[in-house]
Amino acid sequence: MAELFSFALLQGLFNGLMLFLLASGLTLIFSLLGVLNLAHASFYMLGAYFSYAIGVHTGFWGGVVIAPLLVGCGGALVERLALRHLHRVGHVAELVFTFGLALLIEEGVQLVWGRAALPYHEPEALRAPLLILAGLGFPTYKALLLAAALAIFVALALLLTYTRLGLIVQAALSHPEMVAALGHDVPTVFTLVFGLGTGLAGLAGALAGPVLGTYPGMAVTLGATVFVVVVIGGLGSLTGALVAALAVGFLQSGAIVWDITLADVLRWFGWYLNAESGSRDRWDVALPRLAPLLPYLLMIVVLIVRPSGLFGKRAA
Amino acid sequence: MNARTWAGWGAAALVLALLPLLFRSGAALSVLNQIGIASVFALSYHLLFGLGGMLSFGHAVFFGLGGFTAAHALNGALGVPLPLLPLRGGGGATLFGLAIGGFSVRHGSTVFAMVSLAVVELVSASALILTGFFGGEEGIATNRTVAPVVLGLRFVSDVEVYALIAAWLWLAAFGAWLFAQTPLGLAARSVRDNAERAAFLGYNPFVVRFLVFLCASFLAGVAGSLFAVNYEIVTIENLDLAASANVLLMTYIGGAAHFLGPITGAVVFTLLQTVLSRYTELWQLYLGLVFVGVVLFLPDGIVGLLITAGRRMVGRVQP
Repeated sequence: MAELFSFALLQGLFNGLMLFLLASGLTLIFSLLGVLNLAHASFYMLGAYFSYAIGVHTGFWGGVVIAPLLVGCGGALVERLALRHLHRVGHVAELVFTFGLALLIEEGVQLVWGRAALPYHEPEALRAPLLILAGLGFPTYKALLLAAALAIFVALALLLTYTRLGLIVQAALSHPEMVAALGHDVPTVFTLVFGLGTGLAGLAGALAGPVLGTYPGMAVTLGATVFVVVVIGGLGSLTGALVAALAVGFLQSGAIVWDITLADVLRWFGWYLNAESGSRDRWDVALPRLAPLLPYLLMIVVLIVRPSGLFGKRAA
Repeated sequence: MNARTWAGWGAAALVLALLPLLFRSGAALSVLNQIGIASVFALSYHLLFGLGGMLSFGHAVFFGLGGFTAAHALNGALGVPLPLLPLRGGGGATLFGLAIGGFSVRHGSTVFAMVSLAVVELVSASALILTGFFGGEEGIATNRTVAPVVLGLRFVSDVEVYALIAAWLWLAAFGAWLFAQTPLGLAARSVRDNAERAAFLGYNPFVVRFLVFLCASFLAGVAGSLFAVNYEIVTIENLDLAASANVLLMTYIGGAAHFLGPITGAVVFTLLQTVLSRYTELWQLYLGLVFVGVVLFLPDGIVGLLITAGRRMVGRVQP
């Protein structure tokens, strides 16, 4: 049991860090531009697809390096060409635009690569399990991803706190007019941050595509969870995004190993269901199958108890 | 209401009554029915988004739940006459709206949109588990001819179903138009434009949004019931994210702010969908392009464009 538990913990850490790779960029963009980029997960998907397409020619690592750069440039272009002009119309138009962009990217990906999942795999050498817990292997590649994700956060934190650019970004978060008055080019900072955020999402896609699957629905599947993470953590809060991402990651992996059914829960409260009670509803469904629901339930609970999110200063 | 508005509503009823004489073929009628259902649904989205300022990515949840409620009511032992069935479906959707709206309408824009996204994912995921109500993958099938006959009204052929849909569309449009003139409708507009100021004037934004949300849920449930009557089947696909995206698309393409926008959008969207899908498999891509183009270049949709063009032709300066 202890082995299974630590395996779930490791898996939860992996899920959480992958979520944070996306959530960090999303929340950074939100705090700077005030717009929630609903197409954020689509850039994650583009990262995986581009990396696959490039990797066919250059080998796996070539794709992983080039694809995020391309995605980041694409994101910067979207900000420069479309979002900037919509900013005047209002937040709703921006939100609706990014939603439309997500639809377009999903259709475009299907147009080019088809509806089936892509055979996008990590290098053979990294597939061997690094350690085996409770008979389940934890692949070397996943461990490498963990290390990479951690390295990215440290780099991002250092960039934001110690470099000149990071300081300008931080200042532009709270006082864009003042920063502009001091002679800094705030619109370019916006474009840079948007490109950085989407590039991070692309990197997450390029790295996680082989593990989580590269298929047209991957953006929607992960995207909904990422938005949940950002709302739970509090819109615009990086710390909140980290805490919420890890919480949701652990919640999902914990639910997968804890095999318990709703009927069991009801039995604790002295409420026995017999199989012939007439209802066709599946009360016998086990927690592992409910795992996808848990983030949403957690989000609803958080919103009821603390509407601004765990670390949000105030509601958006 | 003056004589002109009465004449307008009378003319609308006349057009609805004459349409089946123009389009007699079965295919055209089924498209008409589809447009009618989509129009009612888009009208409910107009109440929510155009009037209440609540951008939802999960409005189809209420459409679907209304449809499922109606299908179960039809299948149940206690018969409901078909003309009244939409009330039952709308009521079911409103009950669910009470539960969801209680926490989701506290915030207007971004957080509401996020919650609606979570709600639609939550409901479509639980729909696969609660197979008693949602019927699992295959959905709930029903039969509209088993409903008790009232006043000799039977709904067997497409024309008869069209009459039902058209009547409810007229009622829904009239109701939505009236709603916008009520004190609540005006309060909703002020909360949409500036919730803080409306709060200072004594309107509780939460209560105003909640009531508008409930009305929109009811109307979506009505549309869902009409869908259940027309197609005699309701599935999970009627309440998922894609269905919710469609209603946002049609309302936005038509023009969310103007009263005629959602209906225009429903007509354009349904025609694009049925015609384009006949010629190309990429119709969703083209629809997405049209949508993004409208968002970028026509923020007030087709109706907004027509109004501006009309004013320019008449040469009248916009007040």
